[in-house]
Amino acid sequence: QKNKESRPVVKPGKGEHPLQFNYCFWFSRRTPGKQTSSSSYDQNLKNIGTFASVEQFFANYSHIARPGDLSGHSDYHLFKEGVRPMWEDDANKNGGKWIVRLKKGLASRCWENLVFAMIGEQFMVGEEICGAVISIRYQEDILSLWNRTAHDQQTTSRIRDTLKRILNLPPNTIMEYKKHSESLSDNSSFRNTSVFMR
Amino acid sequence: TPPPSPSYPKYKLADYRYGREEFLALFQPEYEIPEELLQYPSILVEKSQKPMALI
Repeated sequence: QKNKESRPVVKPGKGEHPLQFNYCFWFSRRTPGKQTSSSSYDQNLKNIGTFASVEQFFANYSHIARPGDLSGHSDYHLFKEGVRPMWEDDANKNGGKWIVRLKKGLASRCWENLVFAMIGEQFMVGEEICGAVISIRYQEDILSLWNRTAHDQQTTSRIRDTLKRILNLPPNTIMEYKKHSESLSDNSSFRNTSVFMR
Repeated sequence: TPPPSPSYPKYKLADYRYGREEFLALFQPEYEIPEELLQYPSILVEKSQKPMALI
């Protein structure tokens, strides 16, 4: 049995602890000097591994360089199997993301907390979560959590509150929400966001 | 600490849920490198790394 990318279907092994959903790790790094268009973004995306259980997750996670150890303009994306980490994907096109900007030095720890919470189903918003991204940049690092329905405020608020708890963010931390439709129209992931503070 | 979010009956609990402590309890010191990862030497770490929470 094969899925549409003709990879073998990943299942939990015998005696392993199944996850609610299968997930894929993706990696992208911006090629220096090149223009960032949607097609070059797509070409830079590498699907580096798929897992269906806690054990398979650790086999990947324990052998992938930590985000804080990456250099340059790099991103890890962890998305449900079948969802590409792109605004245009069917699962994402009506969605948006919460953005948390991190001082340098916090990325690896915050990413781990977010990944455990996401694949361990701690957000409790049904099937709303699509995936998470850690973006390594020069001045700061950026965590994003993508969900399916940007206009569902009850859901996005719940995701925000859970995110604050699991990342243990101080009360005055600024959190930004951006709809993917707006990212598509201004061709930017992290500019022109709606800012929330509590 | 912010108060817990009110419960939203529209979402039912997932069947397979794991908190941070469950993840850490299930961690083993050694994992074989998944075959797919061998194609990406720039991000591959040969020796199993512990979760950040255990360092």
